[in-house]
Amino acid sequence: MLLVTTLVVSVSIIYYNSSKERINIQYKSLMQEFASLQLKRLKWLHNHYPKYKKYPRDNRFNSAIYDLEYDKIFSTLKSEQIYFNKRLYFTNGYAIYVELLSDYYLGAKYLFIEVPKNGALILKVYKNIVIYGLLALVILYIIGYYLARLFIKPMRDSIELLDCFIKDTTHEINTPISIINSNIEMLKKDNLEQKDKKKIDRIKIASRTLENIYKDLKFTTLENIDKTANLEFNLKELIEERVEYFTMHMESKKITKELYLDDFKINGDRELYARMIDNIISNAIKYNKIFGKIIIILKDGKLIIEDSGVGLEEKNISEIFDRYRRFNDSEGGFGIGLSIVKRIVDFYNLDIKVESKRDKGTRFIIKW
Amino acid sequence: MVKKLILVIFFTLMLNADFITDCVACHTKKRVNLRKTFMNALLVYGGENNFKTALFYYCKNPQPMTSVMSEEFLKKYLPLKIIQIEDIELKEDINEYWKRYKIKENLK
Repeated sequence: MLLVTTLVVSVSIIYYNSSKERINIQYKSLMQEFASLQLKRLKWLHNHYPKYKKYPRDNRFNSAIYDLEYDKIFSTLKSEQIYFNKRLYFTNGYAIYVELLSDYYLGAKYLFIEVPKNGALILKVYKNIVIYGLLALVILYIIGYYLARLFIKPMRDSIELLDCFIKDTTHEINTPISIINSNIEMLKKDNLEQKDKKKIDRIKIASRTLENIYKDLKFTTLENIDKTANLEFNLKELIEERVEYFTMHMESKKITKELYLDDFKINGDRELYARMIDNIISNAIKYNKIFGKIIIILKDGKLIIEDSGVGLEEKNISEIFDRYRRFNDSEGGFGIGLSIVKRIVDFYNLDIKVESKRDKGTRFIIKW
Repeated sequence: MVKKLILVIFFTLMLNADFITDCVACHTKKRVNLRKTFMNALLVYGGENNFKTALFYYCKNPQPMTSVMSEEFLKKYLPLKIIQIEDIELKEDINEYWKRYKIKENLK
């Protein structure tokens, strides 16, 4: 875009300058003829003075004569701006040509010829620049657009292929996850030995983690955020439900939780808010220490989720919501969780703030 | 007021009298047209100051090469004589000469 615009502007400037030069040559050529004619008349008057005293006039141009000391001898010029050091200049709607005389007829060294400026000439140049410039701009943009499409086609095809793959995979993993979850729930743990119970719990945690990844992928690739089902619900209940969902995860890392929740009714899509809370809690567990702590406070229209995990460097906080951005490779994940949180926060015009200190922990504050 | 006017007229006549005795008399005797000489000099020297300076210099040091007079005149009156007039008076005569024949303010 910038390249095409620069190209068209450069060509326009070159065309304008060359046209201006051409117009100047036209003026100069015409006025040189007038100057030659006027010089003949001055010569005649010089030889017949004082019998004839009338300064020669011509209705095609005005003229003036000045002596070598820049004193005016006679003038019929309309313009009052006189420059002795220029050959051709434009002023107040007039073009003025200056001829230097070698013989000082009537004592004149400078002969000025003045004609009204023909505005139509330069107007035509402006018109051409606008019409052809715009035309060239449009044509070049179209060509540029098609070339760009042609060049990025292989990349676009790869992205589309990847998108299709993720969509298909996402769709396909839903059924196995559901089967695993439902079968784990149906297992009668009372009949199992302690050792097997632990194994089952680990499978449950793993399957819930997988379920969470599935939901994030589904949200990112398949769902349209605009198609929401907004209803009034109590955020406190939703948080309690989601915390319960992650209880087993927390227990596996010996993480303790502290909840200080007030009733807070909001209007929105419960599923979207669940995604937002799940991702923050999931991160708080994932990057927490063994025997760490998670504090969740819901008070005065403010939700605070705080962990005692590894935390972040100050410089990385601003990039925390970028898609595929990960600052810690010790845990798995695609790096899309917090970008989903940001999308939802932006969608509901909420205010989100992140405070983090390395080895101290991270705090998310969301305000309604 | 009347006295002042009489003084101005007197001095003007005096100046003219100098120009007539110093220049016109001799040029008339030699049948040289002062206006034609002025136009010839103007064609070469152009502006007022340039004209006056060149003419003053020529009067003090007349040379055929710097003269604007015709070939016939030069043949007849060679060698050219230095004009024996005081500098101040000569300058006044030249001023009067310019004033009488100048083109500026006289074109219509």
